[in-house]
Amino acid sequence: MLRFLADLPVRTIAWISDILEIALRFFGSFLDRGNFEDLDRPVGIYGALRLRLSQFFGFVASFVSYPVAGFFYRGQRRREFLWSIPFCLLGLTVVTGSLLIAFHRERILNRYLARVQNAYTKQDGSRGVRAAMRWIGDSEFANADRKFLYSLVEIQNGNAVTAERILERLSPRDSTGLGIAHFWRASQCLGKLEESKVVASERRELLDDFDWHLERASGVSVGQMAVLESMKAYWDGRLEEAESKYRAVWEADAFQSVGFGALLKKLGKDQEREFVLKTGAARIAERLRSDPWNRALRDQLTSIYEMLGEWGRAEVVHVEGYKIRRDKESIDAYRSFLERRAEAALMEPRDLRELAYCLVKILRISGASPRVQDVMARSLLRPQEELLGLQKEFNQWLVEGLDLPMVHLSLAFCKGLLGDDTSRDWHLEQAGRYEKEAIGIANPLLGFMQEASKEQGEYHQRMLRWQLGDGSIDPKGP
Amino acid sequence: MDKKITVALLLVAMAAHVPAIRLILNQIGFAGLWIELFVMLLGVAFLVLTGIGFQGPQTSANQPSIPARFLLGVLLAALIASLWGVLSDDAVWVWRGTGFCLSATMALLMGFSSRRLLHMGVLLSMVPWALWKMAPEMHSIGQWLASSFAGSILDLGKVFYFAKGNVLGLVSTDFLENDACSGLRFTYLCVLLVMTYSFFRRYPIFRCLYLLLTCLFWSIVADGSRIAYHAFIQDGQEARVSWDLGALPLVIMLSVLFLTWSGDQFYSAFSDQANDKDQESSKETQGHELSSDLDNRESRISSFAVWSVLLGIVGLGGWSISRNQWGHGLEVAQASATAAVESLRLDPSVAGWTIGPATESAETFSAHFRHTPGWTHREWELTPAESRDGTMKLRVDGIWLRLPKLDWLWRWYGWKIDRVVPAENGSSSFEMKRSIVEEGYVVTKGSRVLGNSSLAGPLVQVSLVLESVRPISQKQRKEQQDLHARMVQAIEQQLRFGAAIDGKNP
Repeated sequence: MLRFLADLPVRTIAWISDILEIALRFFGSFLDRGNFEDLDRPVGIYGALRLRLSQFFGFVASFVSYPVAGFFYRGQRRREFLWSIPFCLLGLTVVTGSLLIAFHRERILNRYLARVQNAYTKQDGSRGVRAAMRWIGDSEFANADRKFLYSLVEIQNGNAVTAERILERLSPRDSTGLGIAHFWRASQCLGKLEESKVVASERRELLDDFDWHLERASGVSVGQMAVLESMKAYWDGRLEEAESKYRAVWEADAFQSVGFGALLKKLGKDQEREFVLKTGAARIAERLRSDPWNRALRDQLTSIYEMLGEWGRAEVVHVEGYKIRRDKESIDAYRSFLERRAEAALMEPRDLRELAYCLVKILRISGASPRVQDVMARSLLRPQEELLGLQKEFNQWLVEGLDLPMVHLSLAFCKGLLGDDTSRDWHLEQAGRYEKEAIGIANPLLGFMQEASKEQGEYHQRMLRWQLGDGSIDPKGP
Repeated sequence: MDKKITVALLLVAMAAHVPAIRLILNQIGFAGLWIELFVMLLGVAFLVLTGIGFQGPQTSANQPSIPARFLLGVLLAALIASLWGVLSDDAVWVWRGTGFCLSATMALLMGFSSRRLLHMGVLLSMVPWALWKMAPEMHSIGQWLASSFAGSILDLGKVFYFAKGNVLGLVSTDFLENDACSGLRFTYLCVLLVMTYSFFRRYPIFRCLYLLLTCLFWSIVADGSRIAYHAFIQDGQEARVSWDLGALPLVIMLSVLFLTWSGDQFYSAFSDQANDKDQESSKETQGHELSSDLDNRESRISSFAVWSVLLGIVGLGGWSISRNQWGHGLEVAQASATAAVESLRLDPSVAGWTIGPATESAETFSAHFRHTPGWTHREWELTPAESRDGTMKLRVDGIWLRLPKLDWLWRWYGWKIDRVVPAENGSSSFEMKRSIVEEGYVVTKGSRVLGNSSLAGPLVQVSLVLESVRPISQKQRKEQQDLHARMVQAIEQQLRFGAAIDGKNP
């Protein structure tokens, strides 16, 4: 036995060499093309097949051995071999590279998918959309979940209509679709139901759609589902159930305070609504204190304060947020807040003190933007008594020391409309004296006011009388 | 076969098609395609000169060096090409047929072999690529391959990109690489040179095809590499990077030619067929050997057949002259046509619509298979006067000598076209889809730039495009078709009467 084991390596080599010899003899018969040139050239179908096979093996053998065999060529053939190296090397590289990419397609597309997810996290919608373009047309790779991701980055990119269309296609009425898309569709139906101008027949259709999509909705938190179910109960007339369901959600998550508050308002329970909003605000404010960087918490808190009509508190939260993060988003949020506040002040009965405050703040943040021009015109082009009241409020803010250049600028417009040209020029001069840039705002504002006051003859004449020149007002005056 | 009669008939046949040749030369001049024509003629001249130095056994003055049957085959091909050209109103095919006649004349006069006749004929029929009817489709396929290869390189280099049809865009930038992906470059010149080389080397047909395919392969690889290089430079840059091409096109073309030649060396070394040339030499003399039995009955029949075919070509030429098919030529200078399109002005409002300047569409490029040295593209935005959806774009693209398929541009950018539906007023419309939500509807028509509509002349494609993410209703389509008809009318009025042809208004 030991002797056998000692001989085993030698025997193994002998076996391998025997197998190789047999294999070479077998394949050699195919490769031996010389045989077919003899008189006993194979005939018949089998012979022709054998000939073709042998030619094929011959070609493959020559092809495989070419890179090595070429170095043994002599004369002109050697020169040809050497000159063919660029063609062979580059050709092989191109073909191998292309095959490599083709075989790793899935892996490469996953790389793009990760890029889209990354862009979505960083809220870089345009980049996310471009990365998704690589795979969105690929019917195998772009499954429903990935299409949903695409719709999200489209929303970030500002293409809400495109995103809506994708979500609609992901939640068809004739097949299963994607649960989260059905949830979105149900929410959309709910939004439409809330609109006051919906007629009865349309409402029935919307309710039908809402039920259908809600039944198939999934992929979101239990709380989010419960909110929709509660609203379903509300629209079905089961008011108690609607309230109790929403309350349960609100108790678990203070983020639902705004929604629950809106439902309570619809149910006519104002006292309870105030309690819910105040409690919600307190709970969120507490969480915000421990996590001041959390933008979602901050936004939610300001929304609750807005619903409560506590604009001052909401502004404090906004300004605090801006101090923490001095970015475009914070500024945009604050600007929108001021616009909403101004709109609230413009509602009858008007809160002139609040309106004057908002005008000054908006002028400071947005300059003479079209939105500001519109608010300004709607605030100032009013009956004389109201304009006098607004002027009084501006004067009061002047006393209280609010943004002096902007208050003077606003007062200049008030005086101008009231026909007091001397005071108008004096206030403008003061605005320019405090801040030269403030005068730059006056020109486009005046242009807009001249245009907007066309229907009000006296105001229009006064505005036309006010010539500022082409934006270069001497702050010292004439 | 009487060589003198044959040559005389060949000369008459070519003379009968001079108007068509003149039209093609005018078109070449209009499009500025002289380089391609020059290279083609250079190749033919090279074959003629090298053929003179390769004379077989001398034949008598009245004895053709080419077998009558072979000549008959070539002339039949010429007749079919000319017939196709005359019937389909395509002068390019007449040029091809005449090319074969010319090569037969030269071969008979100079005593060339049948193979050399064929080679010269094939080269002479190579009209500049842009004038081929299939050029846009061929460019499209080639560009798709080149862009795919460029994409593979970018994937290997981990540069993130996406493709809209044939055109690549980078994830890091907000625009498409339109100009880089606007058609294959240098391919046709390389093909002409490779054909001349393989004909000169007297390679058999299989090897000629192999070299041609190798040349096309490297052209596409070179084009793809150029696009990838451009993308590498552009990646991460917010603004479009303009780069000076310098000698790069020449380097790319020489690389393609070198690699094709290297492929030829591979063929020689791999197959060890050094005797290709010898085989060809023996074939070169075959013509002379075959022409020895001229007086037999079969040869006489062939001669009569050859003359009949030639008379057919002459008759075809005469018929087209009598119909003045090509007589009008192309009377408009390229500069006048471009100026006419550039000076187009539209009223700022058309019943219910406001027309304003449009920010140039991201999907606009100067096609490399264009029919003018430059490219004219105008675009306007049509906004509905009432506040409702449905802003459209009116675009004028050209100038073409012959319109490609009307949906060529949208196919180039990966739109899937449903079906082109022609309308009674000459316009066509089609529905298209792309990605998962993009939908579009296009109404388009080719309008003559100058001259009246019965004459051949430069054209522009006037299209009204509506893109949306929602299905486009029948009502919207109808409205779009009506609006397009109105816009085309306004544009055609300006194009016909607003610009002068050599100082004369039509």
